[in-house]
Amino acid sequence: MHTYIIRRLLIAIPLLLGLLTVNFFLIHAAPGDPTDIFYNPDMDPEARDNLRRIYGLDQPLGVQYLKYIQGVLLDFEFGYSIAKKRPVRDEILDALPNTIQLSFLALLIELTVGIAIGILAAVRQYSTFDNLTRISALTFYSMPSFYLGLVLLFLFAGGISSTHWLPASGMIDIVRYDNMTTWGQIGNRLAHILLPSLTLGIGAAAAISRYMRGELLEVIRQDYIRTAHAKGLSERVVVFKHGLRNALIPIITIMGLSLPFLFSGSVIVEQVFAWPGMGRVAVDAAFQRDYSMFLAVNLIFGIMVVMGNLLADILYAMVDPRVRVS
Amino acid sequence: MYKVVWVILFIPLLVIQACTSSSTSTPIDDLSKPRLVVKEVSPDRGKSEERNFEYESKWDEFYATPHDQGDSLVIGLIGDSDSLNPLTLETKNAQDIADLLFLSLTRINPDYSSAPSLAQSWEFSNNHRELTFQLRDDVRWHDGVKTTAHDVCFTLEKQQDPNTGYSNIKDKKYIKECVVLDDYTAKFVFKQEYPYQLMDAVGGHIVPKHILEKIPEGEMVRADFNRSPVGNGPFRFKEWKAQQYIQLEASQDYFAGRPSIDRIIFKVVPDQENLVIQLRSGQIDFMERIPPRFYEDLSQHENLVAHVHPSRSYTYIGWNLRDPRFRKRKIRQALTLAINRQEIIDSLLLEFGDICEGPILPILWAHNPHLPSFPYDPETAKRYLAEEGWRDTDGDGWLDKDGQKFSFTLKTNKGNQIREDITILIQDMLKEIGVEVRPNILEWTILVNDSTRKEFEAILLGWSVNLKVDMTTIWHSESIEDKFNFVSYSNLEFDRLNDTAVMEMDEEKARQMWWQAQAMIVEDQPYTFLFTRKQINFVHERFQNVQMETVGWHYNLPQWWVIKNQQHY
Repeated sequence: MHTYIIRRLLIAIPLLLGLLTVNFFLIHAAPGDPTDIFYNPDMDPEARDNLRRIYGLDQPLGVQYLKYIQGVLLDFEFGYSIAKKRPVRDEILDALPNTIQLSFLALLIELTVGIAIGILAAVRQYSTFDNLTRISALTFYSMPSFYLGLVLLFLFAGGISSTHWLPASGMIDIVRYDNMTTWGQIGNRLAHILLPSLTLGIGAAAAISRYMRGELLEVIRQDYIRTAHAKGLSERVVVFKHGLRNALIPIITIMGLSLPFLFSGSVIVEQVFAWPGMGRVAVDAAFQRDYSMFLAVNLIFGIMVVMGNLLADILYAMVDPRVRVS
Repeated sequence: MYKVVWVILFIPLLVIQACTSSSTSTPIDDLSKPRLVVKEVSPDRGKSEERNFEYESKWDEFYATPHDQGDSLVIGLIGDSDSLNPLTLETKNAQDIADLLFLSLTRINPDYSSAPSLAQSWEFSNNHRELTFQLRDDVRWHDGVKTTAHDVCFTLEKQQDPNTGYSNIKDKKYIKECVVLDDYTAKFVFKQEYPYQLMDAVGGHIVPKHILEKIPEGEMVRADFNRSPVGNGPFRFKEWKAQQYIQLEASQDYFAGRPSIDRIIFKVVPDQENLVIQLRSGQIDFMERIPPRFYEDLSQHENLVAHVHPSRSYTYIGWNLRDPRFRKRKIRQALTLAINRQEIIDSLLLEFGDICEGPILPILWAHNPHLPSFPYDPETAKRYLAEEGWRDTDGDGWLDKDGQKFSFTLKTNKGNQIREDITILIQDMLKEIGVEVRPNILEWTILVNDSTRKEFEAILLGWSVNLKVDMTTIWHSESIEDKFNFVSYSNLEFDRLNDTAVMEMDEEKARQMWWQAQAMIVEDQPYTFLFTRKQINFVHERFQNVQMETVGWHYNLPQWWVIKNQQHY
């Protein structure tokens, strides 16, 4: 297993380097450059030229590329953000934990809500609950996340009245947070993360619930389930001990692959709820042609895809003894 | 079950309704307290060298009277700042925050006259080549060190250094040197005499030499100071959480007296709908530049007060004069005549806009109030086009000439809803005279790139204007290649007038020249000037003494205060 993981990680290095190279030339091929955000008749072309020189944008593209790759490989240095005026590494170290926090909670919602509803819908096939969850799943799955976010904002964060039950943006109540007790601070953080994580997780939970239902229905028709019933085991034991374990195998694969999707989904959700994570950094970097920031964000998304796939494979092997990594 | 399905389907409708509902507005007169404050400014100040003692005594009066202290002001911002170092910042948000953290030599009054700030007085030499500032001796940096003339001259040195990356470096090009006469006296020596010497000398904030002199040359854009500044203004920097907030606190030893509000929090919320929701529900106290479509809804809220003042920007359509069709003045005039600007204002800006006739706005001293006008007149427009050979010869409803249909692309930037809507309105208006408009909405950097390369036929954009009247960068023929004259306007008579007016010391003579220059541009119509907007700001009613001006919504922010029993935080 260890050899397998190491091999997979080693294979990922040239893949990520390739991604970085393609992205480098793609973003530089896009019209404009980072100084275009300072489009203002008061700003003399001389001042823009000075900035280009200071940031090395006046050098040939090949030289810029070599310098960048050298920085990444040798010093683990991702360059300097022109729009944020700080090292890319600092900006990412600020934003990444916030996105991980949000994605983790969204994943938790996706799995717990999705699996629970899927199981209930399967064991009560064709009941009102099953029909209801089918329609809800379809609705939430097909609703774009920015729209769902706005709906939640309007319903719970002060959109339809001048009172609000939940905060509309940010991670904490900036003004009052320092004066809260520890429990108050935890509650305040939870209140802030609830709407964005729901927005991010609920669509995915809808998908998981449908997969779960389908898988479980297939499993409970198998012979060994019939045998379990014949042995006189209770329904609960049959479903949870015999059925669920096998039905979960494909869900684990989906979970591994949904990690990068959660990250990319956060691009929109973080914008709507002003969540200070990688999604917002990515949007700003793309629109501002903030080259170094854009490349670093894409590299991290690339790493997430590679890690998500690897995680799915490993978990798959752990859950299903018939599968062996080689 | 059907009920549940109905509810699920109903939610989107509810949201759409919430977004678009427009309830009847309460007449402002019916309310006991002023809910709308409108400022009309028509200054008559040219070189801004004169002092207006009326403003100054009002300013001083405030500090002489005790006011309740406390509370926080939460300001909603659509974007984070880039830097809080006055030498390297570029964005407007950062500029506003820096105004509270740092002092300039002078501050600007609402009529654009200059008032003392770090400098308590200033004087020109007889030949007008030297300007001496007498500084206050009681101003301290927030780390306790005194602000002196050494800081003033160091600031100029850094502003003029191309390796600093100072964006307004051109304002300093006529300043030869800064000389420290003593700790509290600094002298600026100019290369030549010109009208904006004072404005150029005082432009930008003074920075602390004792901190920034340690930064190696060329490293200013990367200095830690950019994100943890030490200022000398009414508020001091407390904390900056990237993409979340910037927090300032009242400076206890501010020379004029401690500001009444304890804390100012600039909260970053990158979504406009979300910002408005937070303003309505009290999660933020202030938001500036609110789109007119939100005005009616927000004005219903008793705890919000609207402050409306003229903005310093205008919106226009630029015609690419390299295009053979737009090279003809009559065609450009015809297109302006065919655009109903009042209808654009009425439908998109409600009452918060005025037709703009020329490049110098009415809020500036050099504005010409007698410009030739091009009121909506589609019939004359058709006649002008026919005179240039554009007729509907094949009866398809579109004008043509030499077998070519009159059709052009109108480019503008994505993300500005009003501009996107204008392209549609103009498409309809020009269709009536047989001209086809194809709107093309582009990402900002792509649009900038297209304009710089002159790859457009018509472009819809806006300019923010400087208080300093100088039309060189947008209209001078020398600015066609590398500056902002991307429509390629070239008029040698205009160039001559502009060059003379910029350097003319006699204000009245300069005014006459600017009037002529404006009339020339308006007659030539290289732009169709559409409108100037009024800026709408909303602030929570608990804040007293709020005075928002065209020179800045935060003009007197250090003097805002809240009655003790109304304080929220």
